[in-house]
Amino acid sequence: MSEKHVLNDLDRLIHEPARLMIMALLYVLDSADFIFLMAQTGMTWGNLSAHMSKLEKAEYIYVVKTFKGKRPHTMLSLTDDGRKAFRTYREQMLELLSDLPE
Amino acid sequence: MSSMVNLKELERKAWKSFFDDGLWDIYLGLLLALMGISALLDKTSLSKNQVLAVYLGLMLIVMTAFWAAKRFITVPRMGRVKFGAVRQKKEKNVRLILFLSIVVGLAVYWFFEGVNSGKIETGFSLKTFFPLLYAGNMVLVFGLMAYFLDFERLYFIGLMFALPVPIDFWINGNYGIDPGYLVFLFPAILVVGIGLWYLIRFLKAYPPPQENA
Repeated sequence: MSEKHVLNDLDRLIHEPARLMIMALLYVLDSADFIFLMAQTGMTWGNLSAHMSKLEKAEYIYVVKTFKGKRPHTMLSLTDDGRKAFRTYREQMLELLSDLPE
Repeated sequence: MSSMVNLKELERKAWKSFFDDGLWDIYLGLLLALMGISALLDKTSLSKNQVLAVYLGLMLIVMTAFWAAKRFITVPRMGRVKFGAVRQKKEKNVRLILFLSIVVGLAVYWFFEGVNSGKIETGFSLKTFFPLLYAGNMVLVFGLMAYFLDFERLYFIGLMFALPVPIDFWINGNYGIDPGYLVFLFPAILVVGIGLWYLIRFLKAYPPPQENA
């Protein structure tokens, strides 16, 4: 596969650094809540919320909203499609970067 | 493969962040202090059962305080997470180690009670055997827990748990002085102090989120 072809095929939804961080975290974890992701990524509430919406719309993440006492609680995990998309993205990036000269 | 290492590191960093609050250090340091308090109470007019009751009561308070601190300090700042299958297997290993250490501890306790009451005869010196067995057990249990939990400070805490009894026996045997609770108190203060330092750092680094997340 040529580098140009790989670059064109890259999933741009995942390629954005903030979303890549969210996807990578959810890839290695079973599930995490909103606060945990905020603490780990250093993103603000609004920023994380915006990225979460985009990933949810693409059906890459699964969002469960419940209540812990009186407080809303949002739990996130990768969907099968999201896991598959991240794996593909990772393989493409590895292929692309390993082909680069020193 | 570098990306494999990075993903592993990402998971490891997320896992280890749960020890950043210092609460495990404080909890274990207080358990060590309780052993000192128990040694102190042994020298009072309280019976063995009364000392045991006080010890268990205080232990329950410390455990409840630890649970409450995790619930009301850590979780609101750090959030909730469920780790993957590999980490869950490691956690199961730790539970198994703790269970086995309790079983071994009880067996050793009954054995030494039998020796002290003259029901069991041994051909070796109890004063040499007991401190070595105690220290070995502590180093092994804490070492395995540190390994499986990826919690390096547990190696140091294990050492702090292992040393008091051999030091107590050594001072008593060589100088005829019974240091009693002091041998537990000093390492306990050190461990709790380290935990408090981590807790203060944690509270500064993770303020409670303002939004309802």
